Amino acid sequence: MSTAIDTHNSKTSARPLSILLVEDNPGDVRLTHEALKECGVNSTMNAVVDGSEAIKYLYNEGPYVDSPRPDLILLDLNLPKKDGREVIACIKKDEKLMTIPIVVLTTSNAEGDILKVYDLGANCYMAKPIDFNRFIDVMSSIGDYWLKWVRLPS
Amino acid sequence: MKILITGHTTPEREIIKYTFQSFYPATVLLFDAHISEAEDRLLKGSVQLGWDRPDLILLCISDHDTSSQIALLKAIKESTVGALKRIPVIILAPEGVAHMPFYKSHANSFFERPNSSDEFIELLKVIGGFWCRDIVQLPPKTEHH
Repeated sequence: MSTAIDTHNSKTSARPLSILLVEDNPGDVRLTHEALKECGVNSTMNAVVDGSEAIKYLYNEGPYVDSPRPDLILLDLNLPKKDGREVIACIKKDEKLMTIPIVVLTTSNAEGDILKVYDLGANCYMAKPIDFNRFIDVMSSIGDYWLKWVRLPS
Repeated sequence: MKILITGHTTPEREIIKYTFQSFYPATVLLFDAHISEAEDRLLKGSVQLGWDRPDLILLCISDHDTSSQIALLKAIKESTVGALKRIPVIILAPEGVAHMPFYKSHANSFFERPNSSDEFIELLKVIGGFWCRDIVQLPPKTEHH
């Protein structure tokens, strides 16, 4: 993705911000990629399709041996193999990974899911909109907040 | 939507009030200038019936002594009261304050406060745009699953 905006994180790091997207819907992967590109932040996005792959990625296992540590994780909740709740629990138990911010993006509006996700230590819970323009609006808010302004953990 | 702001200076309070009243007028702001006031409100209040629980906490830092802010953050995040523990805590600090101790104590997000008022308002608009527009689903106030 192109560098267009001087962010608080880009002031402290020359490397592009690394985003890990955990999402099993290829359409949502493509939309997320496009929306983040629109934000104009110097970032790279890697996508994995299920919770097990996300854990392998984070521990640099198998095909992910050279994968960078993500600065931010965008996580769907209902995933094959290992679901999003298990992924959060695994990350938050690990001292080396626990500070990586996790943004949950899901179609579920169930109060039980929202409570569980915050109890596990995710940073925020966002309902994934079905409407395209609203989806872009949500992704743009994520980009503004987490990529342009927040001082991310280093 | 109710935000508790604590640890702020008087000029910060005025800018925060101005920005939220102008751009997010439905947001209720609670100001506790001293960290000890916020401690009372949160730690004593959370175990009482009918607690007026904030949805979000903005923890401001004005110098490099961050001990009282870290202590409050830990007290919130280690609380046995789920409704308190789940409240997202945002840190607003001057440039040069170490951010990792806050993340290790489960701060939700850490911002460096810009020096100019215009940029500070811009930052507050981003914070409000993220948390106050029904984009984020905040933790429910209930204790029940």
